[in-house]
Amino acid sequence: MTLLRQAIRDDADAGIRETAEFIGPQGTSVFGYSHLPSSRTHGGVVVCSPIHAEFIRNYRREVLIGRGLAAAGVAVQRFHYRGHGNSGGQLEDATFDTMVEDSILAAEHLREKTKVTRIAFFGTRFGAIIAAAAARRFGPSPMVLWDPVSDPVQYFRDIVRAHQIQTLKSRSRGGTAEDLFDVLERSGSIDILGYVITRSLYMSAQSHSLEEETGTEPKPMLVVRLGQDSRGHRGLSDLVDRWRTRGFDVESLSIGRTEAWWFTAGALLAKEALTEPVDVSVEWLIRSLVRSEVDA
Amino acid sequence: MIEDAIRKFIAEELSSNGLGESLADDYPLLDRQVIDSLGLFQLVGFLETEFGVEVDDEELVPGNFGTIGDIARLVDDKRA
Repeated sequence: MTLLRQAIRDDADAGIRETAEFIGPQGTSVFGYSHLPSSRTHGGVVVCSPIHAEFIRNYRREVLIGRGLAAAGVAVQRFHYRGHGNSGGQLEDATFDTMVEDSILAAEHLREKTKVTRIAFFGTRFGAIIAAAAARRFGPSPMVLWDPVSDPVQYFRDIVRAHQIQTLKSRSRGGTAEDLFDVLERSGSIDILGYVITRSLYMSAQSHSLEEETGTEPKPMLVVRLGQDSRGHRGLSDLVDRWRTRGFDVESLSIGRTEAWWFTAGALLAKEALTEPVDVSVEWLIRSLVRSEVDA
Repeated sequence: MIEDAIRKFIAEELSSNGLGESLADDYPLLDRQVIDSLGLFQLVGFLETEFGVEVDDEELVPGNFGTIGDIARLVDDKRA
């Protein structure tokens, strides 16, 4: 029996080809979805998705990013981390390091497939730290970061806060944040609003930060805050300032009102919340990749 | 007054049932479902930004968020 590992969709009107396929070894193979221009390719972008509720919340925007860039001549690789979505492996096996490995695998696959030499990274929330860590292997790659998580410890605390708020709303009795972290460390996982948070990811992420993973080599960056200043943005402005001091070319902007990543997973995004960050990011990535092509 | 600022925020940003402006300080916000989960999330963000306080996870209990009066008391205590 032949194992079908690839499915193709051609969109002649948009001038793009989309391919769903499995990348890497059987068992831990990563599900990938590429958006390729049918004409000349000006570079590639790897999309590092957020996880849990935020993955669902951002899914459509990432599809639009892929299609928008491909239509403008930029190849895009989206993928699911192992243990997530359609990819192989178990959720408990996914760690910070395996997520970075999967991102690098996706980037190398895109490079091999399209022969592009310029690769940019696009990461949202937790995917932003993963994108930053993976991008370091590819030189001064341009990066677009949406609502980046700068501190994983705070990220997990904010997820637990979502649980606390839900508990408050329902007036049910729930444990304290410390109780939940204790359960996570003892039992290996906790359920937060229907999403499984694993000890392996929680523990493996503790020692990382966006600043450290971004490294010291200056690179062009676009930092997009989806919403006005919020708890999730604390410290980000200072980090942007430090990057600029170190010679990074950082554009930073806020779009829209509050993006409450954990409370609106089932709700439709308002049109401007859907398209505005996509349009801004697509335009910036095209500019960066074409400019770096000219510079080269 | 803290209560008025909270009432205004609920009326303008969170409440969809038209009760906002007329909410009494002791009206049961949670029991009567005036605010949903997203609203609570936004309300906590509003308190932290508007009044310069930090609401700890342990403080997210009905006793602190049951009414506008409860919320104002929490803010007042934290600012003291």
